[in-house]
Formats: sequence, C-alpha cells, structure tokens
Amino acid sequence: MSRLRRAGVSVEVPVGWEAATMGGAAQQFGTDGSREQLTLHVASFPLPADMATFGASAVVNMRSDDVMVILVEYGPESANTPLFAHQGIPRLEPGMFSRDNLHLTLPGQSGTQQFFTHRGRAFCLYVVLGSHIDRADLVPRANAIVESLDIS
Amino acid sequence: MTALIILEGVVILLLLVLVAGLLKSHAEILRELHRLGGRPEGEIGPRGVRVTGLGQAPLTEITGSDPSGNERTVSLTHGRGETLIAFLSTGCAACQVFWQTLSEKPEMPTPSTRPVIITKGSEAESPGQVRKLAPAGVPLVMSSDAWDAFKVPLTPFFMLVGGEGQVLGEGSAMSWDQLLGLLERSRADAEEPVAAISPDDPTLYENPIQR
Repeated sequence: MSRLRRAGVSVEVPVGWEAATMGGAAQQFGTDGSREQLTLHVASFPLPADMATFGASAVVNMRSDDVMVILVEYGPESANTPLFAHQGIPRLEPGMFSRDNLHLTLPGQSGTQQFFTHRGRAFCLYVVLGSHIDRADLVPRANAIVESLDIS
Repeated sequence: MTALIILEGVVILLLLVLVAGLLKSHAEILRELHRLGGRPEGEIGPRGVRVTGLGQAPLTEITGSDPSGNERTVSLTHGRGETLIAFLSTGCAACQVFWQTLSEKPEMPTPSTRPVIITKGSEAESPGQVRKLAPAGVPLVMSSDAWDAFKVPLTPFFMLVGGEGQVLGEGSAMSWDQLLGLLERSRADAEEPVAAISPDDPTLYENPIQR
C-alpha cells in the first residue's frame, strides 16, 4: 500500500490498485493563491496512460468486481455554492448509485456523483462500480478509498 | 656527464609518476564499470535474459511522477496479465529504438501484457526530454526509487512481471524482436521442471538394503 499526494490531497492506494493525478500544479493567479484544479483517479484495475477527467478511457476496462473513485476539483468560486453545499467528504451508500449517473453508460455499470465543499475547496466525487447488481458489495471498497482521502 | 645522469633520473622519475597515474585512472575506470554492472558476475549477461529463480519483484507498485509532474502509481500485482517494465533513459543510444518501437504499439509477449516505461526521477532525467520521447498510450513513471529498488544494471533493461508480482524474466536486448525472443525463451525455461526429483522425495530416504 502506498499513499499518493498532490496539491494538498492524499489517498491510500491499496496493493493491486492504481492511482493517477491530473493538474494540481501550484500556480499563482493574482493574489487569491488559486491553483490548477486537481483530478485524482483511484482504480482497482490498471489505469490507461491517457486518462480523461471522468475516466471514459478507463471504464471500458472495468470488470464487474471493479471500482473506480474519481475526485475532481472545481474552482474556489464554486465552494459553498448550492451545488457544493454539502460540507465534508461524503460517505457512499448503495442507494446513491444508479445506472443513469454514468458519464459513459456501459452495460451493468453503476455510478454516483456527489458534490461537496471541504476546507474551502469544491469537489465532485464520482464513483463507478463495475456492477450495479453487486453495489452492496462494491460500495464498501469504494468507501475504503474515500475514507482514506485527506484534503488540506 | 653528471648533469646528463641527473636529467635522465628526473625523466625516469617523471615517467614513473605518469605510469602510476595511468594505472590509478585505469583502476578507477574498472571500478566504475564494475559498479555500473551492478550484479554479481555470472548472474546476468550484458545482453541476455536471466530466466529462472527470479522470485517476486522488489516492489508491488511503482509510484512516481509523469513528465508533466502528475503523480502516478502503477501496480505490478493487479492480477490481470503481465507487465513488461522498460527501464529507459533519454540519453542512452540503445534506448532510442525502444522509445520509437513502443510508440508503434508493438507485439507483446502475450496479448494481455501491458508495457510500462520507468525512467529515473526528475533529478536525473529531463522531464521535457522524456515528454518528447514518451509514447502515447504507454504508462510512464519517473522514479529513481524504483530504479534503485529494481537494481537496474544498465539501459535499456526490461523485466517481465506476472500478474501476482512474480518476475518471469529480465534482461536487455538491442531490438524489440530480440527482446521478444529472449522473453519467450525465458518463459519456456521457467515452465520446464528444473529437477525431476525434489529434496523431500521419499525415494531419497529409502534404505537401499531393504531393496
């Protein structure tokens, strides 16, 4: 198990899982100290080299027992707006998942999108499960990743 | 006459100093070459593939950054097919053919084999140069820690790792075809039983008098 860190976000990567970040490089824009927005992918299967933000190139490789957790950061202006009103990293429940919540709809898969604000930063947590039917078994695997997230 | 003898003595002394200097620098070159060789003599040839008794890869995953500075963890124990790790550098002439070949989606040892390129970290490699050479679609991790953990003896260097992290073959080659051939041979050798009788075989402990 290793811990991946980038732009104030870190996550545990279990043995056999893969992870990748996109963006997050520190860049000063004026005086607000904002940075390039971060995207984090964590998956229970090999990630392709060229990752799209919401993992379209990766989900095609998912098996029914696979899980992919994606954290996408939005600009600081989004924090605490109605869409990002939820405070803190959400805990996933099987009832949050639906076949209609996928960015790329593939047979059998299921997904959820949760928007939240944590420590003044706005995020979308997008999770894809390899099997909607097995979501009760797969959600704990996704939650293990989500619970290991540390955002500063 | 005395002056000539003194001059001759001085010249001989200078020559001795010169020879001693040359011997010292030669020894340093040999020592450095030995250090680059890395592994004990006989364990691996400079252009061959070591095949049996390789055990587990020293890491279950490789973590580092890509040339754009993004962080990346590549698993060697994902349980789906093999990983062909290519340890390449931007400066080594023999690596150029592999940078090029990997960009052309070459034939792999098996259809499910995934190539992964590992270079040294940004303190030893130019991310700009790596970005120029990096083949699209091939995961690339810059990590000097991985380089050290795998004790990479030379470049280009390749390691074929099974889905559970077991090393199936490792070594170096000058062309892709040569590499494939060597890896195929290593797989065949690894599948062959190394001994027809194992140390705990009961026949080894039978009393010959009872026969």
